[in-house]
Amino acid sequence: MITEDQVRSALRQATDAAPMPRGIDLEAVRSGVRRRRRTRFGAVTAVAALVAGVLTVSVVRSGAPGPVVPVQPSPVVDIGPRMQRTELLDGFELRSEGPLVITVGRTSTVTVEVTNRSGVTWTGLIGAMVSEPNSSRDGLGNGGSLMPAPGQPQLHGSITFLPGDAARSLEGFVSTDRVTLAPGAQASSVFRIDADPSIIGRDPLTGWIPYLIPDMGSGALAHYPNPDAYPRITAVTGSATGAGLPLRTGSTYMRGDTAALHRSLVMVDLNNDGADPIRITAVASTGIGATIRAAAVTSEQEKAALVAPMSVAVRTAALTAEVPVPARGSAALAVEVVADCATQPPTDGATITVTYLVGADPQPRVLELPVSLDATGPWLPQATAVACPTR
Amino acid sequence: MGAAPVGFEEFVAWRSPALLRTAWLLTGSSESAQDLVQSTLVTVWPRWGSIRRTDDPEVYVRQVMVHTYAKWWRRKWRGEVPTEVLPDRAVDDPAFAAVDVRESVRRALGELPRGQRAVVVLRHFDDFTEAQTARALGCSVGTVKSQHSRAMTALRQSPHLAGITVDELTGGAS
Repeated sequence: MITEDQVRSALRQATDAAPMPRGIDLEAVRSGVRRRRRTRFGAVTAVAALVAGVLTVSVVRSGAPGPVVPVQPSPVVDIGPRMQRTELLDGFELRSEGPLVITVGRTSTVTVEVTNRSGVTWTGLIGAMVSEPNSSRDGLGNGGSLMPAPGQPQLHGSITFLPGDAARSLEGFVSTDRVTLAPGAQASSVFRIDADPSIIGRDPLTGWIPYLIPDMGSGALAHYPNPDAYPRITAVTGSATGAGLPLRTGSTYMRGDTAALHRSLVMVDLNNDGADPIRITAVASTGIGATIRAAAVTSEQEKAALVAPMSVAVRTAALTAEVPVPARGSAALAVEVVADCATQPPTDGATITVTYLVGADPQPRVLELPVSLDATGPWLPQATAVACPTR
Repeated sequence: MGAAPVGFEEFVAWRSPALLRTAWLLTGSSESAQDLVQSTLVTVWPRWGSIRRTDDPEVYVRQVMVHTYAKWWRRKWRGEVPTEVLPDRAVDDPAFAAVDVRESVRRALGELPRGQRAVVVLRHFDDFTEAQTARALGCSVGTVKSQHSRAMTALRQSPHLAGITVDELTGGAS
């Protein structure tokens, strides 16, 4: 039986943990006082307030649900094997990271990070390239197989014939934003790249090659390392993804105006098209500081049970989840995100970091999976995804 | 309209965290708590000169807050209020336990009628005496006693608190 002392402690504990506004804005109070005085003496304002009050009461009584967020398409991301390489060149430390398998119809993400190890400031553009030996392609706008993903600001890079090696070309992307690197400073660019089917017939590509273009007029040549030192990039079509592991995410968002919390359930479908089983280790991280817990979901019934009530969700209290995905099979990862209503509104731009191991390879690979916390997953009825029980 | 009345700004700076906590327990959400405290202070501002001369201005302010809550809750739209700031907070497993307990307490309180909820909060969170609670709510001490008794019975039977251990509920304080 709960005693009065226990109630006292519980109330204190609950408010200790509750998300509190940072304080009271005195200016807002002052505005409120002004507003109230105006309202008191303004007949027109009073009538308007009355009408507004009646409307508000009628909305409250109608029990109308909150606005339903339209369904957004799920992002599909390749998380096949990836390369990572760091080297020193011309006073720069260049690190590139990207997929070893490009899948036609899916977006690949490549990151290039540059650190200025020289003693002078450098200004220019950062790029990411693949190299094709024995190529005579003239790719500037013609015949390029790679293109920026929709909405990506980077420039489609020209094919560049390397000095002394006219048969070799580079194709890729450069950032649109000029960077200035003081000695010791670091900058990075992320490129989201789509491939068209013409890439399938091309000679073997190597990549991902970091590429630096100095400011125009500086007289300096572009910086790029020897392409032969980079691993081979394989291009495959979407239906033949032996090594690719497509992830589809579905995100639901429960509007919590009655609660101090936003609770969102993000279901990540993991489909393994490969011949080997894959073990996924999901590590919870959103980038917005929300609380997270994750669990493996290995059956449709389990998934349905998690989704249906929306208030039960994941009960593992674990920040990581091991999900075995059978060969040519599927499983899912359920991640519950709890954000405080006041301080963490639903937002795009959050990510869930998924670390995964493939087969017997002990090297973990990392994928930052973008999720939209206010999107409604396409496999969920919208009525389930939006709940405002006390309206 | 110019500067705040003498002592008002200091009172807000010093006591608003405590007022916000009480308001959170009453309303169950941070943004509503902020609205409630702000509305209370708007009411208090013009009378601050006489309030600050009383023995305990805070009791008076809380009284205004509870009145405001009682009136305002009937018609206030409790919709979402998006905010701009996304502060990062460290998160780990115990954070989840805290989230669950906080949510359970909030839900259990939320199922109490408004008057009972206010009595529980004032008596056990703000440590008001029965007389102070009665004054704040504008009712008799007898009403406070009966409301309190009903509220405790309801909390003991609340399904939201049923699965939680005493240690979890009190954070190991009992």
